[in-house]
Amino acid sequence: MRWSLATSLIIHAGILLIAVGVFQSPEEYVVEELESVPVDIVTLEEFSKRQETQKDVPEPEPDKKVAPKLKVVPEIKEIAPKVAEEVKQAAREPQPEPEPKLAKVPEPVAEPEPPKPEPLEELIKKTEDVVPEPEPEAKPEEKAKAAVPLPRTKPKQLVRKVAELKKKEKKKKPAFNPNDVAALLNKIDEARAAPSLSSDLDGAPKRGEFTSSGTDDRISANELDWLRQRIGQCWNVPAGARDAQNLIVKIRIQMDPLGNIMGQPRIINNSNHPVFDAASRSALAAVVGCQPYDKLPAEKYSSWKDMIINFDPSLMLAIN
Amino acid sequence: MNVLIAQATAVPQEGYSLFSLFIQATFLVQFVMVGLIVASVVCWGIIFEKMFLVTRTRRATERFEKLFWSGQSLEDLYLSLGPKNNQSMAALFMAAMQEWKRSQESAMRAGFQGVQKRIEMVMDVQLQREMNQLESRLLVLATVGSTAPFIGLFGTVWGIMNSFRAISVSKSTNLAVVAPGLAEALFATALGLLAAIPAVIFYNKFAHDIGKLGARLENFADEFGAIISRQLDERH
Repeated sequence: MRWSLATSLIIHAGILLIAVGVFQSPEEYVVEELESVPVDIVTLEEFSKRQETQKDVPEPEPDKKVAPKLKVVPEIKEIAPKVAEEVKQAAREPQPEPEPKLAKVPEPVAEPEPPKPEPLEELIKKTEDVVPEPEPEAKPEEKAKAAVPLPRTKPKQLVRKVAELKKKEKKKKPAFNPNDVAALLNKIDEARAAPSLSSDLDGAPKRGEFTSSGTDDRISANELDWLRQRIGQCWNVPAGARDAQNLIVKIRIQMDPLGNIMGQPRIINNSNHPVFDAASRSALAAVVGCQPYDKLPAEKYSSWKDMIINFDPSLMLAIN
Repeated sequence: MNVLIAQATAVPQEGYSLFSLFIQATFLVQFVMVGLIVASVVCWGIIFEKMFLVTRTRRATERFEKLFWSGQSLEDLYLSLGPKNNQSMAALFMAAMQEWKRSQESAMRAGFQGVQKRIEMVMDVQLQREMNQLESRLLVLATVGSTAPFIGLFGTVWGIMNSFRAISVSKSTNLAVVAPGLAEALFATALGLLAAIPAVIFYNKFAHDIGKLGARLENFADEFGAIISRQLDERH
C-alpha cells in the first residue's frame, strides 16, 4: 500500500504542477468597446422649442462672387441660381408656422388651406432643370460668344413655364392662393430686369419668425400639477357645490418671486349659480391659505407671476 | 447628470489561474478542494495497489493450477512449495495440507471422519482470508466514486452562494463580480468529478476481477476437498 500511495501522490503532484502551469490566467476576450451615447432627457416642450429654433440654421448663402472680370456672361450665369434661390424662398415663405401666435397674424394665406409645398417644389425642380444648361464646362471666353443669345431666351422661357405651371395649379386647386406665385413672378422679373444688382439678392434668406427666447420659461406640467394638488388640498369645497354642474370660479392672482400672493386675489367671472358665492369664497380662502407656493421655479417667474386659476368643483372632486 | 455606476469591487487582482482560483476561494471551498485532492490521491494509490495485487494473484493462481494438475503427487507439491509465504490458491493448498499432516496422528486413533470436515473448514477460513486481502480498501473506491461528486457539488453550491452574496453586497450584477466566485465554485465540482470518475471505473473493474478470482478459489477448494475425501475413503 505504501508504495502505491507514494506513486499516486507523485503522479498527482506532477499533474497538478502541469495543470497550474498550463491553466494560467486565461487570455482576455477582446471585447469591442461601444461608444457610450450621451442621453439627455428633454421635455416635449423643449423638444418642440428646439425644433422651432432649428429652422433658423443659416442657409447656404448664394454665391457672392460675381466675377468682376467677366462682365456680361457671368452675371447672366449667376442669375440662374439666384432665381432658383428666390423661387425656393418664395416657396418657403408662405408655409404656415406651427406657432399659434403666428396663425393669428391676419394673413389670408395660412389659415384656410395651407398651400402644399409639393407643387412649388416641382416648380423649383423644373426651373432648376432649365437653368443649368448654359453652365456645364463652358469656358468664359467661349461662353462670351456662344452663350450670349441663350440667356436672353432662357429667362423668358422660365417665365413662360412658371406661368404655365401657375395656370395648371390654378386649374387643379382653385383654393390655391395666387399671391404666392405672383410674388414669385415679381421676384423673377426683378432678377431679370436688374441682373447687375446682385447685392439685393445676396445674403441669407429671410428667417422665420419665432417667439421663444431660447430658454424655456413656461411652467411645466409637473409644476402645474403640484400647484393643482396644493390648492386642491386646501380647498374646502362647499357642500352644495360638490355636485354642481357648470360651476366654475375663476380667480386671478399675482405672485411675488417667493410664491406669496401680492395684492388681493380677484374673482373675475360671475354666475347666478346658487352656490357660486359660497364656492368663490372657499376658493379665495384656499388660494390665500395655501401660500407660499414656493415650489414654483424662480427662473420661470415670468410665467407664473400672473395666473388665472379655474376652480371646478366637479373636476376637483375627480382629482382628489 | 450624475449617474453613479457601481464598479465591480470584488474583482480580484491576482488573475484567474488555477492556483489563484484556489487561493481566492473561501475556507470551506478550499477545504473541500483539499479533501477531494486527497481522496483522489488515495483512490489512485488503491487503484495501483489493486492492479498489482490482482495481476499477481491471477498469475500465481494460474501457475499453481498448472503445477497442481501436472500429475505430481500432493506430497511432492507440498514439499516443493515449502513453508514460504504462499498466495491465494497455493495458500489454500498449503493450509489444507498442514491440517492433513497435523490430523494424521489423531486420525490413526479416532478414525478419519473428522479429518475431512476440519480440512474443509481450514480451507474455507483461508479462502475468506485471501478474499479479504483482495477486497480490502475496495470499499474506499466505491465510497469516493459515489460521494466525491456530491462533495464537489457542495463546494460549488457554497461558492455560488458566496458569489450571490457578493452581488448583493456590491449591488452590481456585473458579470465580473460573479464570475470569479462561479469559477472557483465550479472548480470544486471539477475536482470532485476528477476523483470520482476513475474511482467508479476501477471499482467496477476490480469488483469483477476479484469476484472471478474468488469463484476460482472456491472451485479449487471444492475440488481439493473432493480429492481428499476420495483419498480418505481409499485408506479405509
